[in-house]
Amino acid sequence: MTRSGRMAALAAAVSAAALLSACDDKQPQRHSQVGTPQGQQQQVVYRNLDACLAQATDMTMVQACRDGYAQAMEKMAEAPKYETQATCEDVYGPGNCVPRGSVVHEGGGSFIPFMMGYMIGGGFGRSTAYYPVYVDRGGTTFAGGYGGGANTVVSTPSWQGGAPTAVRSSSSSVVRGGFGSTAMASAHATSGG
Amino acid sequence: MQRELITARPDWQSAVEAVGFDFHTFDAAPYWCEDNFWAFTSAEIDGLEQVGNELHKMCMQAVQQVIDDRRLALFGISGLAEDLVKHSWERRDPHLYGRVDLAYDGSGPPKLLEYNADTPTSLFEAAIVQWYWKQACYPQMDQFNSLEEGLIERFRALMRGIPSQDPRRHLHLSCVMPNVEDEGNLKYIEACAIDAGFTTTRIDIADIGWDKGREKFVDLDEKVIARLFKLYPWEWMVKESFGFNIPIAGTQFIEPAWKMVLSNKAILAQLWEMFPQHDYLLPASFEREKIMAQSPLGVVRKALLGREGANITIYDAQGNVMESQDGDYGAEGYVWQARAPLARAGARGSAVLGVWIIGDEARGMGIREAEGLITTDMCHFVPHVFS
Repeated sequence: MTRSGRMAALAAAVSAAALLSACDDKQPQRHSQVGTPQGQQQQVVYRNLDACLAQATDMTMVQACRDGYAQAMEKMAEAPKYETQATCEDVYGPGNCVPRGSVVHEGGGSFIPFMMGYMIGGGFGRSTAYYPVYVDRGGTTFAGGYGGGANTVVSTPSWQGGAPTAVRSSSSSVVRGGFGSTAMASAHATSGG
Repeated sequence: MQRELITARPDWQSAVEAVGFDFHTFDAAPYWCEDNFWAFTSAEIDGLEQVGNELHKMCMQAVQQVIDDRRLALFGISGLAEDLVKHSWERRDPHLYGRVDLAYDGSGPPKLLEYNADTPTSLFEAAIVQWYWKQACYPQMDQFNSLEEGLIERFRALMRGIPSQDPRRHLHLSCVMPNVEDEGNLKYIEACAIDAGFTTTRIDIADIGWDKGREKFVDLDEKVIARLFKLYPWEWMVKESFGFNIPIAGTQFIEPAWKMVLSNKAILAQLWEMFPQHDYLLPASFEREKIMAQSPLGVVRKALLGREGANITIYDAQGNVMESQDGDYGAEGYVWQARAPLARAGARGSAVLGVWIIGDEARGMGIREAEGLITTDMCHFVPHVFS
């Protein structure tokens, strides 16, 4: 059985297909999306309460900003949780994670991304709902709990009050080129055997 | 065991390219050769499988013994390398694969030539290319090849018990880039890891970053490298400038550092000492004189860290050089091994059988033929079947 090739046929076909597509972008497609790639409908994201208040033209909107902020903060209870600050920062970038207990009053001992802003789902209608927004180190914007629980990618956020600075550029503490010098120096670049 | 001459498929290039094989020819000479193949009996394959399993088991015992007896210095393993070997072995850091190279011509037991345990290549050829060749040309025959199932099972085992958000569910894979052959092997291993549920990132070994603040190895997106499959020799990594970051980084390396003991040719002398006169071993020693009497065909001198046939010299029984390959190795020392008869590969020269060990089990075989007696990176890969 251990040397039977019978199973290999199927599996090989599967992997050959995977191999051919191995150069493609492999971002896991586990999130749904809001906002359209064509940019017809930008999703308004308020950086903070002040950014929302600055655009309020009447007392209803002022109240909506305040309620929305509080609602978004509450929804942070559903934010992705990480065991350590380091594993959380791997995803969201240095300084972009906070202890869960500092935001959510039950539980604790784990880390969640910092709320970078909040977003209105469904516009200023009667059934208005608000969602917390966080951004990973690659610059992808997520709305927590939008559309029922999962993190939803906001493809075209329109930041009110300034977009958060990208983490990607802050590479001052990373050095590269510490591996590979032996192969460079060798006449035979191949390292197999 | 029979070498059969046939006519290659007229469209063999496009046939192998269709399964993703893009390094079938090097410098205008075919590396993949289907103008001949090797046919085995079922009993021969059973034997080779059993030999692979037993040799791997003996090798695992030898690693323990080398560490217990404080013999790493004999392997040229000291300082940082020694710490990495010991700690990775104590932790039982998991291993993925290796290739046991055998001298076997169908008469007498197969003999271990060496264990390519750290950076073996030709996996893609053995797992995929020869399988599709068999399906196209000899569908009624069988092949010693459950490599893909083995690799996926092994990767599944590496996932077991790891929580869903854990960064260890992401595998980084690295080798020297650009290099069509190494990258071909890397992509195949990546495909198997993806099949088992990993997400993956491929990265040039020279692009790996060290984040001084977090004290972690990072990729180009500054994501921490929690698990790294590296097709790059351990003995090179430990002497390069990031070497001293390895103990603090917390990255799990595949293959693990303890494979340095097995990929080192000193293991041949160690095995012969632990299992003297074993059927599957050739006499081997650090001293030529100790094996002369048991080497009627002459002896072979191998550099401890030599790769792809480099720094190997073959002497006949009278002590004359029969064949020699130079290279960049040898300063670390040599081991002497009795010369074994290799399978004759017609006009081409000789053939070496590589039995693949996935995890701890022999799961397949690839055969390489070389002009002359030393299998170098200029060898030819030829398929096999059994019935």
